Amino acid sequence: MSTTILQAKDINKSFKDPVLMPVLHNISFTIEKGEFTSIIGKSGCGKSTLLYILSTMDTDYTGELCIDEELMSSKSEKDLAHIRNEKIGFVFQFHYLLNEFTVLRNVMLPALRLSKYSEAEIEMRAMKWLDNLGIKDLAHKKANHLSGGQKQRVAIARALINDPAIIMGDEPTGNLDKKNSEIVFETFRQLSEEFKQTLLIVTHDNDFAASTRRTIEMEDGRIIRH
Amino acid sequence: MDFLKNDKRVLGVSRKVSTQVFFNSGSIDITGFMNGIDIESEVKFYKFNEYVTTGKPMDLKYVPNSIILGKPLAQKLLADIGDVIQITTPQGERFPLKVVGYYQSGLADFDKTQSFVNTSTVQTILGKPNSYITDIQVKLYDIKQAPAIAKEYAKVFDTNTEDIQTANAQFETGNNIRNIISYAVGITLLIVAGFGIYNILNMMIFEKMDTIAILKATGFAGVDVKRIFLFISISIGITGCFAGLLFGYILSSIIERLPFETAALPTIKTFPVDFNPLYYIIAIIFSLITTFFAGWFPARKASRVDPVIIIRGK
Repeated sequence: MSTTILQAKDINKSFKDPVLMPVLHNISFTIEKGEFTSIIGKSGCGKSTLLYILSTMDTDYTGELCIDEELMSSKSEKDLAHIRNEKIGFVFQFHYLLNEFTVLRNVMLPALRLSKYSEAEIEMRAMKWLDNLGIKDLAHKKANHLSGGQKQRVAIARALINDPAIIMGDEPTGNLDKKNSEIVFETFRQLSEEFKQTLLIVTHDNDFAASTRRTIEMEDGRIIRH
Repeated sequence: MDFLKNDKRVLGVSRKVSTQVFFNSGSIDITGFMNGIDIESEVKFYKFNEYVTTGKPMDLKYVPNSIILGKPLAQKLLADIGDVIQITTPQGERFPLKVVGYYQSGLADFDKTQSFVNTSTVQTILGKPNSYITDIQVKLYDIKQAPAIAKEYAKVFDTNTEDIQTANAQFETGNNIRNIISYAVGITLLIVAGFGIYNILNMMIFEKMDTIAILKATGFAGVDVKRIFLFISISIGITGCFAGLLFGYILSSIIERLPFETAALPTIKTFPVDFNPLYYIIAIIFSLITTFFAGWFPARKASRVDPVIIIRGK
């Protein structure tokens, strides 16, 4: 039994400035629930661009994108924001935590926006995720007092808080040393295996890609292997 | 009189008998006016007591044949309080009157010629009956209705009427110009302050680009971002507004205590300050409107930030 979480069909994108330059050609693929997928490719092959389209942040493309069997094209900015909030968890190359807040508050933020649960429940869930990722004792520290690896794990916890349909990562280990990379990868693997979390990670780290269950390889805006 | 007193728009009326008299100072006669007034209603409705700088206004009623002189007039006559002066009526009759007070309106030319006595005193001097009066002063609840009511009464009583706005036209013009100047200065200051807030928020948005991007990526729509920045600007507005009001109040309290003496305003010893709450309310409204607009434009800009550009730019 497998359900489709993400389906991309004939996605094309061009940059129009300064000259018309196509970046993505007819990208089509699907991701099933529970899959741990990585996208690899050289710098400039369009893998990040593809991820931004899949994440609904970039709406300037042609083709069809379905997340959780819902068509994304032609939705309003507000609806897309809501879908990002509810269905997609994000981990970036840079952690992007809000330095003004504590770790706990950072993790809680997307859930407070969704407001599906009460604040007390959200706090409990945030603590549970921090505990699962082994950083429970950092909960009340300010975000800017953390090390790079710790920050990235906090970012993962934040991505998980709303039980998203899929977690997208844009080179989540790109900015970390070997040891921290391993910790982060281990975290992803644990999520995939223990919690059956669907993951889509863009990376240029071949070791990382090799350890994922499925690898999509891109070159010059085309998928050459999946 | 009863008709006027029963008019619902009228706060009070007071009778007045004026006549020209000569004040005898040695061999010289000084021309002046004597106003027979109903001292009780003058005090009640026109604050006559505030203009009497020396002596008790009520003595006019209690001391028979008493007079209150304009201060410069009294100085010319070398008349102290308690002295008896001689006056001559236009009919040529002489009459002694006792000085019980000095009057000072602040208009030197006016004070030089005016004197006040009780209504009945003038009537006696002139040899007229009790019903003889020359003017009736009417005080209204709403000063703005004065010109209309003046016209109305002129028709009803077939007499001459003059409203306060016509009588004090120069004063009104001066007042209007002062108001325009003070509002113009106030609005200019608010615009400058508004640009200040606009700049602060613009800088803040540049500084917080990453935060905006992450908020958007984790599911905050443009509207939410806009709301956050509007909230910031409005809270700057509210704190600034109340700090400003408090500071302004303290400053005007200090100014109110500064000595301010001028011959034109004899009853005022310190700077006159109007603490009308309306001015504070106007200030609150204007400052909130300015901060709202000063916040609106940067907030709109923040709401349009494209997270992809920022995240990619790293």
